[in-house]
Parts: sequence; structure tokens; C-alpha cells
Amino acid sequence: MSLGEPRRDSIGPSGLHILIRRICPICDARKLVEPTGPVDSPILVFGWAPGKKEIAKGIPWIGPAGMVLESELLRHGIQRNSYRLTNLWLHEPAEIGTKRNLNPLYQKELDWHFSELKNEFVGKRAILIMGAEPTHILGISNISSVTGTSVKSQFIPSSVDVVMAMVNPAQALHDLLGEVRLALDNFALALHERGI
Amino acid sequence: MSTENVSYVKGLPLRDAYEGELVALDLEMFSQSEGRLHRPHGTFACLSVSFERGLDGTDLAQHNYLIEEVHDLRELLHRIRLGKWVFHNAGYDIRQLRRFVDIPQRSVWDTMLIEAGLFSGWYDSYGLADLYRRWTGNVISKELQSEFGKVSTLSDQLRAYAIRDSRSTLEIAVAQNAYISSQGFSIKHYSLIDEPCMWAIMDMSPARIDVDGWLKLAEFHEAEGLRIQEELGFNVYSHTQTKAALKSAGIIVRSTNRKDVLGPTTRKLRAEGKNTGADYLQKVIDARVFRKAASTYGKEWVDQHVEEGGLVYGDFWTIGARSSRMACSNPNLQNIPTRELPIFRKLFISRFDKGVIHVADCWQQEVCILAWFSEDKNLVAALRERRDLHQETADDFRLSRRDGKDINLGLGYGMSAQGLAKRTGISLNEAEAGITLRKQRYPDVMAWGDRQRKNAFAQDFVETSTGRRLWINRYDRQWERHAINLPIQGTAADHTKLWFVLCHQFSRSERIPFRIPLVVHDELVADVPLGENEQWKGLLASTGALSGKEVVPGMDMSIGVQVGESWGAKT
Repeated sequence: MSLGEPRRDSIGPSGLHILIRRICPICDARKLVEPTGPVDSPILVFGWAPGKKEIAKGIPWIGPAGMVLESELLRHGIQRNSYRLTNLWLHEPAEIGTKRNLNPLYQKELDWHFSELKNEFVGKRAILIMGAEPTHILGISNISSVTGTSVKSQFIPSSVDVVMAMVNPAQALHDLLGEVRLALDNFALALHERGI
Repeated sequence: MSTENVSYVKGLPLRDAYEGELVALDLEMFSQSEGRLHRPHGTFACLSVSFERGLDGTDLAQHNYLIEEVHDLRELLHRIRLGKWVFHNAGYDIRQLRRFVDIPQRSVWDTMLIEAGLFSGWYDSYGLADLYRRWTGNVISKELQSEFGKVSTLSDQLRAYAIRDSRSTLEIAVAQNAYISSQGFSIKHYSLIDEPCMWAIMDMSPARIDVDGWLKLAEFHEAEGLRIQEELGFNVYSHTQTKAALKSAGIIVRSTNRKDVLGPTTRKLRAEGKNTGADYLQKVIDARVFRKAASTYGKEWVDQHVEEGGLVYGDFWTIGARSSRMACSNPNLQNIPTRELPIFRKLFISRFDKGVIHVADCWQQEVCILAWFSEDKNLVAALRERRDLHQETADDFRLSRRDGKDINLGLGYGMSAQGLAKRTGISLNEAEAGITLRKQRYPDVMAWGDRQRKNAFAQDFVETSTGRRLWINRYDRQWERHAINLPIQGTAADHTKLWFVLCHQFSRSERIPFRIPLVVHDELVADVPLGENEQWKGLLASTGALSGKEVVPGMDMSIGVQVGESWGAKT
């Protein structure tokens, strides 16, 4: 498989679908966990990076935090297969290194993954950013002070009607539910108001 | 409505407040330091005032004022006397304002307290910016707040900041009012308990400690901790060293957590007759307890928190925990390790010559509340007969009475056989047998627990007996336990707070000073001078029972009052 080649599903000898996973073209080592959901969905939901379970299966947001996200959006009738779902990093985040000993590949890797994400912005009408790290990368202030509100980022096209940031849904697993519920309620309401 | 560039008038309002009109007030002080905000210090910067209605009283036009002169405060408060005063954290503003002007107790709308009362267990941050974001979907920055600590004159930027805060507070109050009306539920817990509790906290007296005794105790703890550690030959705070040492003593533990592992393991070894191992483990625990006590409650604690005359002013909060219990900080007087080291109680003494300390607590408070909720006939009868339920439970499990008490509370809260075995060191079979026995004895308690779990999952909250909602997070692995324990703990908190409030009200009506320096779980502590002894003893007992009648009608909440030279009157 050539580097950077788009993902394809193929049929294996047993007749089962086999997920052919791309390798990151920058680190040339890690398999990518690529977006799921319809490419032409008007809604994009993304977080920071896949966890162990997601990396093993090659599917984003299938761990406990993904379960929170899925069931909270389902409360508003928003099914997982109706939105595009991904992470800024398509594999585990590269090591940044130390101040004295920066990983020279880090920025290059981040730039590539970020550009892949930016490609996902195209044609979207609503974007939900989940977690402190992606919010920071997008130049948005402290997540706890903006969670559940509309935000602006120079990286997101002005044509996108709804851009909202929220804390990582994983917060509901080890802390309280309120902020997660509120943000997802607000996002669902914004979609409804704009007929998305 | 946006709070950006809010217009305002400098000086007194151009009209009086209408009856019941919301009037938001926000005080800013110069030169105050974090952690000491409950103590009078710093200088007056300004008081911003926002009216709910416009100048002609009919519209929602912005109508804001900035008071920059202390001498205008009295006139301002007179002009808004008929309005409903709104604060965000009234306890802070009123306490500081009382330095400059007399403010008798009155009804106020405290957006922070209201919010915490509405959403305990749902949100954990109740700052002005948090509430504004949640209620309006807009963001306000609090970055300028720290500037007031650094300067002594107002800039236009700081003025705008101050006005924005009172305006934001007003908008939040309006939104909260609308929400409460739309939900159709009562906020009796606020008017009956939380708001008067906030006023009572402001009138609390300081606690006094025996400073010399405290310092000597810290030295003793330090020396004793090190002595035991030297005897053991390893650093008891090192997980690796502790685990290795225990292993060589034949004791295998999965972690070295004192409460969850070392304590139960010690009990288990003791129950199995392995006293040498239990003694060894106890030494590890003791060394840790002593070292921790020395480092947390040593000279630094005294330097930081003790004022002239050995007085300590804790910063008590009306709602500080998920169950809506009161909390305390700077210093936390509810967290002194009196259970492990009861000697600390003896160091809290009267600040009056020949004064005495009254320690009042409620007999089996949480068990009574469990009986009230579950209406379990056997449990109610047992309580009426004043049977020692903790001893009965201890006998069921063949453990000590102390364990029996823990088990009663734990099982009331839905503790599993596995959890019980882990906590007490008994075998899983013994735990299961004990639980089965208990289920047979108190069948309605178990049925109530099942109903609680079902309701909590359906509506995401449970309620105390006063109707206070305590929210449940269904994604939390402990949610079923919370569904059972929060109504009990929350109702216990309501009972204790109302008891405290009634003490305050009675002392005001009797025109005697409010003598309570400590509220710790189900205990009220009063520091009483000679001459008020009998009055306070009766007051503490009668108000505790009265609070019980209001919070859990029909259940006899009896109060015991012990009197002595120190908080150690009750051990």
C-alpha cells in the first residue's frame, strides 16, 4: 500500500470486509484511525486523538467517551451514522519532546494531521470541537470558559453556520455530567434552529 | 442582552427600587488576597448596581450605577430597600459591606447559592462567568478581577468591569427565576435553609485553640512518626518501599492506600489471629497518620490561620459538597483528623473565662432518615425502641461496634457484599450472609433502594425530603450508590443546616450572641460563657428536634448535648 493512499475496504478470503488502514505518511509507522460517518454529512464532530481501543479497531470514538457522545446526541435523535466523526490526530499524538530536545518531527506531523482535519471542514455547516487540546490548536481560549458556546477560529471557514466547543465527553465518566449534557444540548438546539 | 459596554451613571440611583424589583449589587475591593476573602481586609473600590426595570419602570432599558464613595452606601441601600437584592455570592459582598454600613438580615437572591441548590451534583463550578455562560450562552472574561488586588484607584476599564458584573448577575437572576417558574418546583430549600444559613454563617463566632498545646502536639506527632518509621526502617510514604517491606513480612497488598487497603487488611489479619502482622501493619498506618498530622497541622497551620487570642475563623460555605453539606476552608475545620487523633478535639477550647463548650449531635441521624424514606416498619420500630442498631449490625457480622456503624451507613447506601468484605476485612461469604440477614430484617429498605435507582435513572436526579434536587451522573460507575446515598446524606445536610439556622434565629430572638464556631457533619459546637450555659443547652436540643420535625416529619430526631472544657466533651 502506498503512503497516504485513501482507505479502502476490501473483501477477504472469508468473505468478511477487511479494513485496509493507511499508514501515517510522516512517521511512516503508525496506522491511522480515519474519520467515520458520511463524508457528505453537514455535521463534523471531532476530538483530540484516538485512544487504545480506537487504535486497535481503527475506528474513532468507540470507547467509553464515544459511548457518552453517542448516547447524549441520540437523546436529540441525532444518530451516529448521521455525522462525520474524527480526531485531530489520526493516530496517537506524536511526542513533542522537551524544551531542550524537541522532537523535530512533531510539528511536521501535527501539520499533516491538522491539514487532514481541515479537509474535513469543507462543505460542513456545523462543527463541534471536543476537548481542551483541539480547542487550543484552533486558537480558541480556555475550554472551560467557552464550553457549550459558539466560538470562532481562523482555521474554520466562515461559511460554517455553527461552530461550538465543549469539554471532552470523557469528563462525564470521571466527573459530573452537567457540562457535557449542556454543551451537547446546545449543539443539538443550534442544529435544529438552523435546520441542519 | 449583551453585557458588553454597559452604560452607567456614577453615583446614587435616579429613582428608588420598586417593591420586589430585582436589584443586583456587586462589590469590588482593592488590595485583598485570595484565601482571606472571608476576613475583613482591603479597601472599598466600588459597588455596582443594576436595576431590573428602566427608569420609568416599564422597560428593560439598562439602568446601572456605580457607587465609588463609601459614604453613599447608606443612602443607596435606603433607596433600594423595597427591591429584591441580588448578589453573586452574597456571603462575600454582605460580609465586606457590613464593614461600612449596617445590613440587617433580609431576603436576598444569591445567584451562586440558588444555582448550587438547583444543580448540586450536576455542575461543579459556580463562578459568575460559569453561570453567565450556561444561562445566556455568552462568555464574559474574569481576567481583570485580579487587577483589583494590585491597584488602589479605579480606571475606566475597571469601572466597566464592575458594572458588567452586576448586570450579568441580574441577567442570571432573571434566567434562574424563569427556569424555576417553568419547572414548576419550589425552592423551599433555599428560603428555608440555604439563604438563612448564609446569614448565620456570617454571624458565626471564631473557634479558639490552645496554641501552645497545638504546637506541642505537632512536635509530638513529628517525633512519634519518625520514631516509628525508624523502627520500621523504611519510608512509609514510599509506595515501593512499603510494599516491599510488607512483602518481606509476609503481607501481600495490592496497593498501600491506607483507608482502602491497609486498614481493612489490618482488621482481616487481626480477625484471623495473625496479630504480629496486624501490629506491623498498624505501625505503618500510625507512622503515616502522625507524619501527616505533623505536616498538615503544625506550626505553618498556626502561622497561617490562627489570629490573636488563638482564634481561628474558618470560611464556612452553605453548600460545599455534592450532597449539599456545608463546607469549610481556609482553614478547613471540618477536616481536622479527630477520628484518628481525638486529642485534636481537646485543643478546641472556650474563648471565655470559665466558658464551656457544648457539643450537640443527632442520635443515628442518617439511620433515622433512611427509616423515614423507606418507611421500613422494623427499622422505625427499632429506632423508636432506641435499640443500638450499630451493635446489632456488628453482631450480625461479628465485628466491632465501630464497624457496625460503618456497615449500617454503607449498606444504607447500597454497599455490595464485595465492597463490605473489602472494607471490613471479613470474607465474602460472611458479608453475603450478613447482608441476607439484613434484607430479611429490613425488607422495605431494600425495596426503597430499588425504587431510588429506578427513579434516578429515569430523571437524572434524586431529591432530599425538602425537595432539593441532587443530580446523578448515569455514566459514573458509582451512580447507583449515589442514587441511594445522596437523598440520605442530602437530607442529613438539610437537617443539620436547618438546625444551625434555627439556633441562629432563636439566639437573635432571645437577643443572645450567636455562639457557634463549628458545624462538623452532624455536630454543632457552641462556645458558651458562664451564665448562658443552660440557655444554650436547651436551645441546641430543642432546635435540633424542631429541625427534625420540619425535615423528616414524624421521625424523632433526638439530640444529645455534651458539655465540657473543650470540643473533646464528646469523644
